[in-house]
Amino acid sequence: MVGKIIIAHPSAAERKIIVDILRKAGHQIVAETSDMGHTFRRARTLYCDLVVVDSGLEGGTGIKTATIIEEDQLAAVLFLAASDNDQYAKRFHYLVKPIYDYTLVPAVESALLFWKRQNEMMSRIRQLEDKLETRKMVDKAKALLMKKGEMSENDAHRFIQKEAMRRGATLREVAAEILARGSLVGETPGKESR
Amino acid sequence: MMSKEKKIEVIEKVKENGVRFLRLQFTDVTGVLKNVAIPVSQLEKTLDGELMFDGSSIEGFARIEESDMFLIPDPDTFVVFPWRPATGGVARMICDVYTPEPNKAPFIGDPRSNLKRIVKEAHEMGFVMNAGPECEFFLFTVDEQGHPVVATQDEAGYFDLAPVDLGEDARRDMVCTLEDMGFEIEASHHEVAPGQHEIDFKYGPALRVADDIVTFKLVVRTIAQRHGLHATFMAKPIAGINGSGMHTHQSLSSLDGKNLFYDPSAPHGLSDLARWYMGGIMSHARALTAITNPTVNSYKRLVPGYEAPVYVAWSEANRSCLVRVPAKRGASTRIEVRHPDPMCNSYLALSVMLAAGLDGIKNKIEPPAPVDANIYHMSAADRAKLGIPSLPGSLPEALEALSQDEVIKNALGPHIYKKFVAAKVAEFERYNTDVHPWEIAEYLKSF
Repeated sequence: MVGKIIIAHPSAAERKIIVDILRKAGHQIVAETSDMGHTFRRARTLYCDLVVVDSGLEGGTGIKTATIIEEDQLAAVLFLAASDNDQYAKRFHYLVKPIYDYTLVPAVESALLFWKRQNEMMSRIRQLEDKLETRKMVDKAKALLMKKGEMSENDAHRFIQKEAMRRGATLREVAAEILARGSLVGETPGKESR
Repeated sequence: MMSKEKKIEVIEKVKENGVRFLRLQFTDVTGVLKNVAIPVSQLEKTLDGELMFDGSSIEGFARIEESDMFLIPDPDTFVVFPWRPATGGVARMICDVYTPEPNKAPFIGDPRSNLKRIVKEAHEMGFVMNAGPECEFFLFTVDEQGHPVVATQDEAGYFDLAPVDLGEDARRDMVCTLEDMGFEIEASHHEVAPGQHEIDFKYGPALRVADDIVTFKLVVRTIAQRHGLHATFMAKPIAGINGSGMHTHQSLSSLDGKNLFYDPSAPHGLSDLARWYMGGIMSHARALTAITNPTVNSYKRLVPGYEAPVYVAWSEANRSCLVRVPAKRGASTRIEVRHPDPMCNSYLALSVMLAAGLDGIKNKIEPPAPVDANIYHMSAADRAKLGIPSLPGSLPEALEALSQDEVIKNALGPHIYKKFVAAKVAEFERYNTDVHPWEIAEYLKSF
């Protein structure tokens, strides 16, 4: 797969080599940087999939740069380590220098692939968490309505659904309001909260 | 010292969050945040108040011969930093500084202990001070070496033109981080000057707010760095555009939480207490400015024309005054003191403002009549006729005013007063003997 890539490397000559290799493989290079601050500014303002971070980056270490990009999930990281006993490098996708086209391209592509998969999984997890939370709240709201409004479970569910449709709100929003205010039953329709 | 329940609570939170390091924080007299980092293995000892450090290396603290001091953490200030999940959690607690054995007691040179002293005084009078700061700051880019660049034009790479506004993005991240740490953010917006931002958090009791200001500055700077930016709380980083202030809203409530500044039957809806408090702030304004505006640079903000106050007056709407009374009444009745800047030590600034207000109440100091005209446009003669004094124009002038005000000196205590003045006199001396770029530009070619 191809991606939008930022090259963060202190040496202009080395950057050029990396850029040429990746362009030839069909990737789009959206920015080149030589220091930490500039890399963050680019990674946060341009849409990119991967940042190639060299260990010798200026204005703060390459490791710090790579760590923050990963922690804040700005993009995938491919770390270029100076030696194979760099323990910190092992927290990332990494390559030990020198760089060759036949190692760089596969490393970039596998980092991109895993980034894509990770994103898909993360968004799936967020969806599920959201659904779970909604279900919990609707259940609680239903229980409250059943108790206070003496409704059957079906009626309580229907009440929340209708209220949500009437207001153009989500089930969760209506449930949250029911929980916050104790009940909504018996209030004049059309009268919004507050 | 610390209740057993609190201690267990902290230990549990540490375990729950996988915390591996704790930062024990306190400020020196000039307001710089100090850190002692300890591994979790030292936690129990620290909670028992047995952690010592060398106080002689801290600005304005003790002499060499009394250098061993204790850090007593306040368990209510425990919070996990949200920004270091990958490498094991880091949490912090803000500490009080105590003197060594045998008479282990709050150290009078510790700004936080000093604020506690004034807060206690207010408490004994039946008052709780609530404060709400509005901290302004600038975001600058950093160069290849990671040093900030003071440039605000877009051409100078101020904010790179891109689909996302870098400054807005960083500010949003700051707000989220502060919320994760338990702050209630009331507003966050771009300020008047390019690159200038403001984040306001909810008012609270003086001590908590002083702690919050310290935390706030740390968070803003940390998050800025993660965005490739540098956040500065310097009062006036660039001549010719607005500086950064820390307008401080303040009010007194009774011990059971009732706002004591509101009186619907009185003129302006302000109670006697509110007027006297304001009278106290205004009559001690020139002296307490040394604390609320503590640097050479602070006085470059207090000049006419940039919404910063220059004159000691009050008004309900006019923003050129030292004190503004916002229109809200009822439980939100408060005064806004507009001259502090965020370079101040928040503990000392709140100490002196509260002490000035309490003195106003004790002595029933009436404030002058409100001034609704723009004072920037008045002549010196008009101001003299209305009896409107100016704020100090420079750091030495402020220190001079401070030296003549016993109430404000007492609000600092003899130790802090002495150390503060010594540090500031030395600071001004360094400024005065240096040759500045302005002088080179002005004189080098002409003479």
